[in-house]
Amino acid sequence: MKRNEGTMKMMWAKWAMTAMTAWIVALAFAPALAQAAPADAGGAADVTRLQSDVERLKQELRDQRQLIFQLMSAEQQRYDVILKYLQGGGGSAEGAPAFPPPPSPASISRPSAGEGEGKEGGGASSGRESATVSGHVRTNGQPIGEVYVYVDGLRSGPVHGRTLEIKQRDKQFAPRVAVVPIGTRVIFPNQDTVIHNVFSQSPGNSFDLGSVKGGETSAPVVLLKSGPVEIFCNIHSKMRSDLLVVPNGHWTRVASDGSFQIAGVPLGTRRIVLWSPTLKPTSQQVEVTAKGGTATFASEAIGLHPHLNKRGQAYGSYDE
Amino acid sequence: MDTVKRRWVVWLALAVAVPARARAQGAPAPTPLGPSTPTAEAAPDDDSAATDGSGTMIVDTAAFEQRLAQSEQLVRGSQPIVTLGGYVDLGYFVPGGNNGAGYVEDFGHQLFPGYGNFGWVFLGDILAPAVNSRGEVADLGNAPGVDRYDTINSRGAPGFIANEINLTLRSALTPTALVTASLNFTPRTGSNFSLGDVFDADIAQIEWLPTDSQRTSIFVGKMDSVLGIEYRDRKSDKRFGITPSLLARYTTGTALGVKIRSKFGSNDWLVLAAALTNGSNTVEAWHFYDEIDSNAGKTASGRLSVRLPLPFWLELGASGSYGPQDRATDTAHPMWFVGGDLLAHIGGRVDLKAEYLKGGADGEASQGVYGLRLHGGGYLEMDAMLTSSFGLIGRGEYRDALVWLSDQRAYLTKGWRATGGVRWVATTRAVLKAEYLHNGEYGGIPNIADDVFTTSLVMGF
Repeated sequence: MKRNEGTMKMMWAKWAMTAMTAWIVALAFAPALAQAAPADAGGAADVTRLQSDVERLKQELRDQRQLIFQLMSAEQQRYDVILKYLQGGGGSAEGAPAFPPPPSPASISRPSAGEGEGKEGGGASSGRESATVSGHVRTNGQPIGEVYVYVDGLRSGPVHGRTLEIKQRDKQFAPRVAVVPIGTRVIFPNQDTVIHNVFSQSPGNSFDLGSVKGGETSAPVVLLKSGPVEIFCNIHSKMRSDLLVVPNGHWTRVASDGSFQIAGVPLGTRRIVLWSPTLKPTSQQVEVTAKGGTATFASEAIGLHPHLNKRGQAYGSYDE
Repeated sequence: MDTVKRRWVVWLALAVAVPARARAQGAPAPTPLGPSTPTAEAAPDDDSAATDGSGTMIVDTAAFEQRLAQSEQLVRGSQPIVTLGGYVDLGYFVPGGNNGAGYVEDFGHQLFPGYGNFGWVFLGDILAPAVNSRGEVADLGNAPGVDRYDTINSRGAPGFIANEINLTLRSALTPTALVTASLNFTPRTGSNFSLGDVFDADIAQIEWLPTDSQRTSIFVGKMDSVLGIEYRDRKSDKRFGITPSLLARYTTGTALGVKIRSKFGSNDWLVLAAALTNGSNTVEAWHFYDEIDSNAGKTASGRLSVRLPLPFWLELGASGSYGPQDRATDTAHPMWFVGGDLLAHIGGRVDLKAEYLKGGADGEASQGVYGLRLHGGGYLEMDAMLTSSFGLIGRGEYRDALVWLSDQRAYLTKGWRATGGVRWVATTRAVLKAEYLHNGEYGGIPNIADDVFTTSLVMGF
């Protein structure tokens, strides 16, 4: 009996081992199989999957950036407060330092990039040593138009809660040119009576709002990458809006006589960028000292070439 | 027993650990959310400070950005070669009388004895009681001496109808060479054991934009007309209302050939278009249409339009065509049309459209080819969107014409029409329209009770 019992146990153990091995193999290969399965799907499924990947990655990137900047901003503000407190000789009656509590990210109030451009030419002062960069844009007698300069290579935290509205009216965007800080939400109310399909394929800020009927507003778009953003309608080829997403508050619009001044630029070697939808983009390295810095640009006009639709095709002769 | 138990524990541990490890290797390493410690030099608006402060996080952000850019490129590169579009147009129509037909016979030449040389004289307009954007009429009547395919053949009864199911395919050979095919399916009643369903291809063209400015297009294939302006919104998903004008039969047909269209001046204020086609731009159902030419001569047509510098869009155009008579086997008799048009967009909510046309063709009795005297015809249409979803259409028009076939038969038309309708844009893909057409007669032609109430639900895909 005991021998039979031992044999039974051995058999049961072997069976259990086999079952466990199969389970392990299945668990080990399941993720690989799950990943391999979509690869067999057709092209349409690939596109859908890629699009959802892009959306997911965008969301992840957005969340992570927001978290990073909020943490950094919070920490910086905390150190500033502590430093100021110590420099002011603060302390408790007992002589023990009484540090203020760290501010929560939600209560961050450090001037953000968005506050710099509210008054053009004002720039954003970071509180450390800075100076004014002034300069001139030569235009060969042509009207200067809507031209902007900004300091590249400096980055402020993203703007929270700032929203730009780009209307679609009479088959045109309004405004047609705008400068916004990084992190700005843009909404596109369709105030026409026809359907529009707003899209952009500018790298890092690409989006496609799909068909939106008159009187409706699509979901907002958050611009997370600095640089020019070209916005079009997939139905009406003449609709165009050009945005410049600036990485900080150090920017200004060039005056009609070609002069400009950007105040509060941190000292050091800085890159000043000239931008306009109708000018060839150009930049200069400027040494910003305590006395300031100077930049001179010679503008070179470029025509607004016809663009392609969101599928990379010409609009055709009968576009509106 | 103990050994077995130990093995169990080991296997269980492996079972849990191995897949978890495999997943962990495939996923990015978690990033510590430690406090950033910007240095005094590292101001909060400095890139280098961000890197120093939380290096790992920034590296991951850069990686995310790169991966995002790669994914965007992949999506763009995965665009389908052919895009499909189109619509389904369903309707319900109610003919007003006369068994749905738009004409009556002048028995014994009592009303117009001057046309006594014709065997049969018909008064009115065959295409007046239109029920859909194709221009199909509620009924073609029972005119003696001809055997016509009466597509709807309602005999005056109201009914539901699938007006048209359209499938449009688009593809780009290159970014500036666009291929388009538009296919229409129209389910209809067959007779005598034959199917009545109709399938037609109204567009099969390539459009090439050879210049950098993309302001010139060269078309080859079966393509839209250049006459007037109504051809631009001849399809039901483009048309504000439902039914075509009384002139549409002459100007909105598609033809085989070549065409060039160029825009000039600032903001494209001048547009020139010219085409060389097999035949005229009459519509396929009309008895002048000839898709494949029966003669060696070709029809030349053109249009010139200018946009005036006004606070609103005002486009004025003149167009015409000239070529051998359609369906004739020789080039002896010309067929011609000439006209003017106006298009205005006012305040983004109101469109004004007007067109005038006249033309003629002598016909060819020996070849069974119809003759035409279009003494004149025109319309004035106003389309207004009262809200972003709700719009009204009003159109007034007339047509004065004589159509004949040798001495067998003549159709004398002195008709006018008033059209009123509503348009409701339900969604970006669904539009519901309703129209009432009041057809009237003048110049001695008796009034014909051929009004029509019709509706259309156009659903795009």
